[in-house]
Amino acid sequence: MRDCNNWKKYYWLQLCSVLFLGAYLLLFGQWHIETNLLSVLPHSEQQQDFNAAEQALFKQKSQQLVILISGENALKAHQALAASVRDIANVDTLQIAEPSLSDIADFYTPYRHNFLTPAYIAGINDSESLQQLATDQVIQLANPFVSATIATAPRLNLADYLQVTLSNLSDIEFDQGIAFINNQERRYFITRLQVSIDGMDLNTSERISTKLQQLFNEIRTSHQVELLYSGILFHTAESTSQAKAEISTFGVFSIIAVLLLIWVVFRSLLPLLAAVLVLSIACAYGFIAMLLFFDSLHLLTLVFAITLIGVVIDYCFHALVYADTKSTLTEENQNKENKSNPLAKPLLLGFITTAIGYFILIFSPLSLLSQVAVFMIFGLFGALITVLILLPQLKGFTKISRSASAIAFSQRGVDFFKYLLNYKGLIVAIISLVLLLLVIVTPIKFNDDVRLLNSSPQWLIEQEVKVAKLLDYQGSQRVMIKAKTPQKMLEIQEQVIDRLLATQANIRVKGLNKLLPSIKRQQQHYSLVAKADEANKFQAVLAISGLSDPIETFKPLTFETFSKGPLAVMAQSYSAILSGTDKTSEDQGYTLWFELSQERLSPANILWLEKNNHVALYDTAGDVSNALSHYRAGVLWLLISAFIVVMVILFAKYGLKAGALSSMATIGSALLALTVSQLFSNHLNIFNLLAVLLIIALAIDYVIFYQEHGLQSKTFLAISLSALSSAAVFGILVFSATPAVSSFGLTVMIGIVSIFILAPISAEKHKFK
Amino acid sequence: MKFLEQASVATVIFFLLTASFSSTLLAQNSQTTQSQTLALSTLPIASGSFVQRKYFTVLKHPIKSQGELYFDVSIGLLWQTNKPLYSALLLKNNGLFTEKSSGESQELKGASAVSQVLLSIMSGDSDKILENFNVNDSDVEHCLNLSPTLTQLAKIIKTVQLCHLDAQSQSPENLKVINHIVLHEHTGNRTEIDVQLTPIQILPEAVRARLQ
Repeated sequence: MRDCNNWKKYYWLQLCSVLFLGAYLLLFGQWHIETNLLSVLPHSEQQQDFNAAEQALFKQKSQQLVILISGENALKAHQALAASVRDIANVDTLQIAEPSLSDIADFYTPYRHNFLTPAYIAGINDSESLQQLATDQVIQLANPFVSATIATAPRLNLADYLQVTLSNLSDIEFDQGIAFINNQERRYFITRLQVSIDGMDLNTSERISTKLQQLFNEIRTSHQVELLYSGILFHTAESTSQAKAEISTFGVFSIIAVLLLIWVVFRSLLPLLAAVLVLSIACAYGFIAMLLFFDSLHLLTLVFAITLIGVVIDYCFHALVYADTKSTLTEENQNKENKSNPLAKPLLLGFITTAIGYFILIFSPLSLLSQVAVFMIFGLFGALITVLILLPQLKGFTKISRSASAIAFSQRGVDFFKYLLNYKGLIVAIISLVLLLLVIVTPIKFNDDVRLLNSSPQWLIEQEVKVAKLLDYQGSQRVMIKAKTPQKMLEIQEQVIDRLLATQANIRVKGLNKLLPSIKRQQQHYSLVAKADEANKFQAVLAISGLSDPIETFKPLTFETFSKGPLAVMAQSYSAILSGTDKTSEDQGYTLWFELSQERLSPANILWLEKNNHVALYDTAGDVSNALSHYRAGVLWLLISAFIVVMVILFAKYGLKAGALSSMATIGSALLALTVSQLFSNHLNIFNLLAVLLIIALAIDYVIFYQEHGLQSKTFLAISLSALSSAAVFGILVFSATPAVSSFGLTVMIGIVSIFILAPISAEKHKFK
Repeated sequence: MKFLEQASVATVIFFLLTASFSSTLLAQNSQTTQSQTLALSTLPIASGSFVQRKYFTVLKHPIKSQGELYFDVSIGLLWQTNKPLYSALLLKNNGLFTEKSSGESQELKGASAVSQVLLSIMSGDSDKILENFNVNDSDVEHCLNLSPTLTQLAKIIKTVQLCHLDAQSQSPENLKVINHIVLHEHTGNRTEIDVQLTPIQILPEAVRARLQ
């Protein structure tokens, strides 16, 4: 009794401490909720090196929105949008400036001998070719490039260069200063908006997204136009509301289903209160632990954390079903202290085994897994001590009894499984055969596509794809380059582009490369011009105009000069200066990016890029897919480790035969869950494997209870309730809009059904009561 | 940003030509209203020759070129320079292309909007011309001035002057046709084009093949 009082005292002490700590962390902690999945994924060394470059080049762009308007009243709709957007806080219109050709021509004139197109280079040592190239330009109807440069650059190499370079830059045209794009005889006016939100403020994102979508709908209706929009903001807002809806819907459904089960079995208010108490304490412990160990809590962690309810309720059911046992046993065996709480041993063993499984996940480089693991371990610990120490102290707890119908149900279940046990060998053989067939018919294959994590609605994805197609960046790839000096950066860019085009000639490159060649390349072109001039190759070309064009000393166009010229906006768009964290920082330098389209990079070229320290592919979707693939392999090894841990514990505790049967039940249910899941979805992913980890956690509880107490009515009832509640809790995740969560729910659901059937069969006959 | 005004200009001019050649047009007197001026009658299929002179402000002499042209409103148009060197511009139903003597062909993207407007003009849609140009009387006798309202074009071309210089130049139906066109650029440069066009029943097979 004294011990009991001590435990009770300690329990209240630690509960108060934990709750006090939780309140402090909640009010004064630095925590925030994160929806961007990339934030919880690990990054390769190369990606980490390019973090600063990525931030400098793309952070602002990631908060930009693109709106395309088409139709008879598109221009008016565009103007209405520009006017109305001003009223929305944190949103500004980005002006797309159209540089003047004469300004550009004037800017390049001092450097006119440094710029040659490949066609011009090819003919530079042949007077006839040069003459043909120049004549071809001057006879064209009102060629603006010739008109703008012939007086100052009569060799016409500059006109040729600007025409080729600027024409390749973009398909965007301008009408009355407004940017538009033509597609299949339709004109789409382009509006770009810049959203300014500090960090990832989900509520602000949602608010802005709602306001903008209302505005878009109004404009669509009032002007009868087609309006398409694209931007990460809309996906963030949709994901946030989706996750919020799922957390509340699934959470409420889970709690109602579980409470209903309790009511049906125990027909009393106290078990309901006990369950709510244990669930609340478990969730509080899990959440406080997350606040303690992590600053950035991912929304997806909270979705997965709902599963805690399913496991914790197992503890409650065991406690409730065995509630009257303690008093009975105490009365009957007053001298047998060890039997004072028949739950302590199996629950503790179950918790330790489950916690070890999750503990391995804490060290996963995938912080999502670490967060889920911390939440589960601490949540389960809170539930365990509450069930063992607090619940027995509740007034009337030991008088909780099962309803007659529940007793009858459990007895029928026990009889059924006892009958099945007569055919244990046959059942094991059938299950083995089924597993073998499933593996042969649908060999296990994995899909690590990033779309598994995308919960954006289909209409938003389709709209995004349409905008990408119209603006010609669908399927494009971005390459980032960084170097200590701007010239080094430009030289590396040229080396990379030369190499890529040499092996994949159809790739279209958009970037600064042509507008601003490196000084080294400019010098090469200048030398070609000077050499050809010395050899009098330009006589015929200059004779067309009768103008002279003396070759002066080489004067390079530098990055600094270009960044202040009429194409400064291009410099800002494609490059950035890395200031670094301090003066000696390795991060200091220059960075730029260019876009590749029309053909995806070959694996050989991707490999080549990965080997270059100055180069990185900016491919968020690819990065996520690669990370998923990488960590799926990691989780697979974790699973194998977990299987080994479980087997060792079971063999050590229950001996060879019972240990083997228990292990078979655990592993068999996991394998069945995986293979049957694949039948439904044709492939597996990392989230199916994560589900298997959970199945093992649940399976351990089931087999341990059957090994400890045998196939008896109370155990069967507790496990049935646990399985039913877990199936309801996890089953509902199948309906999640996020394929990852849905896969998880499906596998756990199948696993629970499997272990519910297999666990009793693993029980030894001599323990039947 | 798109710098294909060149393509746009070419397209505009071609279609002005094709529309104008077939016009009943040209103002017999300077009082003719715009709608009367642009009462076009279509000349759906024609072939002819041209002589082009480009006057650059910095050059003492014009740069001369000459060639032939063919068009069929339902197929497209071929503008082929033969002297001083070969080059061709082809407007097909699927886009605008340039062609060099080597046979190398390249699509000129970004001219879709202008092409679309001017395809209508090609088929004799005077409303479209009025939508995209302001039509004014010219100081030069037998000439009209067209000022582009289409931004892309207006950035390069100040005015297009359409003239009927030779009273003898008449179509078989006795319609007076335009035979002299002047493009005035903002830079002060200008391009003068003399054209001779004959209506035909069908385009030569070789030309048809190139336009399809």
